[in-house]
Amino acid sequence: MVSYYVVFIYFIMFKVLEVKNLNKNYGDIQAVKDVSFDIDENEIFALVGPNGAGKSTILKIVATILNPTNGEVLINGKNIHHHADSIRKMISYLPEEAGAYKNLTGIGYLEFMADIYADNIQQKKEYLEFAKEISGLKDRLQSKIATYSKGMTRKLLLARTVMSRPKLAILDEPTSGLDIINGFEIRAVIKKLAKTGMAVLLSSHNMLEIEFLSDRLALINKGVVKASGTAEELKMNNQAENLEEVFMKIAL
Amino acid sequence: MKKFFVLVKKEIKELLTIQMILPLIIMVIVFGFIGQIMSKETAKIAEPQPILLLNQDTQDSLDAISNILKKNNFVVSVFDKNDVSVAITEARDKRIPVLMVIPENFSQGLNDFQPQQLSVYKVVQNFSLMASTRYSMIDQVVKNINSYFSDEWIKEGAKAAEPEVLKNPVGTKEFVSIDDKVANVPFSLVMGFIQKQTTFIPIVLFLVIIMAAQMVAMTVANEKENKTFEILLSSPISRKTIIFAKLVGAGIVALLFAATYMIGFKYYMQGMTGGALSGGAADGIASSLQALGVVVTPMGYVLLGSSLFLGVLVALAIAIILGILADSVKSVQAVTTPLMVFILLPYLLINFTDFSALAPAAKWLIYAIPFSHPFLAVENLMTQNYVSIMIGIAYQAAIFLFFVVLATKIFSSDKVLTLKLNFKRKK
Repeated sequence: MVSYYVVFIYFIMFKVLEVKNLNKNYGDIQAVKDVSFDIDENEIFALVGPNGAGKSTILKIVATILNPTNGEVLINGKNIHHHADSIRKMISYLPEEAGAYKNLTGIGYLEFMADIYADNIQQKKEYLEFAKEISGLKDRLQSKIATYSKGMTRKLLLARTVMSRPKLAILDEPTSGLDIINGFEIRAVIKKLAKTGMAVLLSSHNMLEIEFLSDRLALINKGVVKASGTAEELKMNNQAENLEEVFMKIAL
Repeated sequence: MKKFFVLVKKEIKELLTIQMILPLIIMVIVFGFIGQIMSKETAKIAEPQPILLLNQDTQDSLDAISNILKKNNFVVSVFDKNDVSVAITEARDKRIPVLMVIPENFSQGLNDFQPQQLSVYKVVQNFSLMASTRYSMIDQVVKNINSYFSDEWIKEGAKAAEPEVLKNPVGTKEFVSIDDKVANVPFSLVMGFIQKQTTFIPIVLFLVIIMAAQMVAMTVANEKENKTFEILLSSPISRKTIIFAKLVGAGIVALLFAATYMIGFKYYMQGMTGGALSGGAADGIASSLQALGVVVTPMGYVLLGSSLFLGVLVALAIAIILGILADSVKSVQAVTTPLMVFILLPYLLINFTDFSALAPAAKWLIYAIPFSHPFLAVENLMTQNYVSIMIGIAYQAAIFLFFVVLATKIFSSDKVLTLKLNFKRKK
């Protein structure tokens, strides 16, 4: 009984992700200015904005591959800067337009990544089974990645990203450049995974996609969060029919 | 036809990028620099060469030989004590490469139409190409001395002698001296042995280091370009593990390359030298080389191997950083060019010039380059000067650690994603 209580308190105390007053400078250029937001379990949170708005930079900082100039990022209450090694076990990152090792087969790539994430053979098996299911690539997993279409590669990489069931999946433009069918399938997988408890931080410049996919979102332009909330809230507050209109009204 | 030229123009524009041109320019500059040093060295050879004469015969013999030597652009110093080993020490101390000994009864013997032998001691300071050139000059002078006395005999009408003897009144007994050891063996054979033992070193260094370095830089650049690097960096593996995995992976492939080249090269060398020396002649040379201390011991091979392997490791550690600097796979060649320069420079300067006579600044530059040490190790290996090789290995290990730490630092910072050499012109 006591242990349930402890777990309950833990979840009340800590969000999956907390970003507090985040700043990032590249030399003289301020790419991210004072950005704050948080994500709960089961939640899909989207950063929405045009190219160069600073979305990818925020995602890379959360993914522990860039260091913030100022501000704090906490995952499960732990500062990512100070606990990068343990944080990396809880997160998984899918970069925008990422590739995979083309000389490997799809299954070979998943096995390689499962070896990196898993602590034992049993876990590796579980990760692989889950990844095979998520990818939906079936027999094509035996083919070399070099022969994959863009959509197939993206599905493989998404399966790789979520195979270890991370607490937080960080997806940079998960459907960018994909056709309608592939985009639809990937969005469906992301929604399904969030229902199983995974928190998702994603970025997109496709406002309509975000309206369908995210629970909450932040509109971002030139490194600054212009507004955040649910899509409905943002539309209502700005008397707009869709997010595109909201963005045009407040972001520019 | 116009469309053809439009296409050709596009092809040339695509091929002639800064990434392609920069290595060429760097190579031209380096070759120019080396050429300058070489021309100075060549000029040194054109200058009068010093020689030490030890005369055990009459003043007439000394005068005759001295005159011929002076005519052939030699500066003659005469050693006044009748002790060959002291004379060798004197030559070594004063950096005089050759000691010539005129034996007793040289003049008298020649007057009696008896062929005579001059003893020539080649006092070896190093095994560079320039040194060999110096020694071949003395061989030429000995021929000139021989023809001078041959002419004298003919003028005097030495009918009693055989034509073959008439043509060769003065022969030479050639000795080589290394450190305090002396052996009756032609210098060319010693040099040949050393070259045979060590020609694989530049091959390993050039092919393996450059190929392995380009390979590792290419994998880093490729991972960066494909963004697989970002996936690796965000996964639960330490940065050190990523770096060492790349080093070990490329190191193993480099060793495979090295082994393959060495096997191929061994066959090539066997083809070149096979049958040239065999049986008793080979045994005789082997014992002479042993007397000179020109022997490669197992310990020597271990040290040379370590020096080479560390050279490869240093190159790989540097190449990982260079791979980060490359903004695309295409620019890998441009960023790894400096590495080639730093291998080429010591190779040419150590093997083709008289390294010990280089200016101190040039010498220290060579010592500072970690890839110099396998080349420098060769000479020390032949003379069993292991301490110098070990100092070189320790220096290489320190440089290797420095670059590994630097690479880890870069991998742990934003620089791993943001650092790049910008080849585009800033507007």
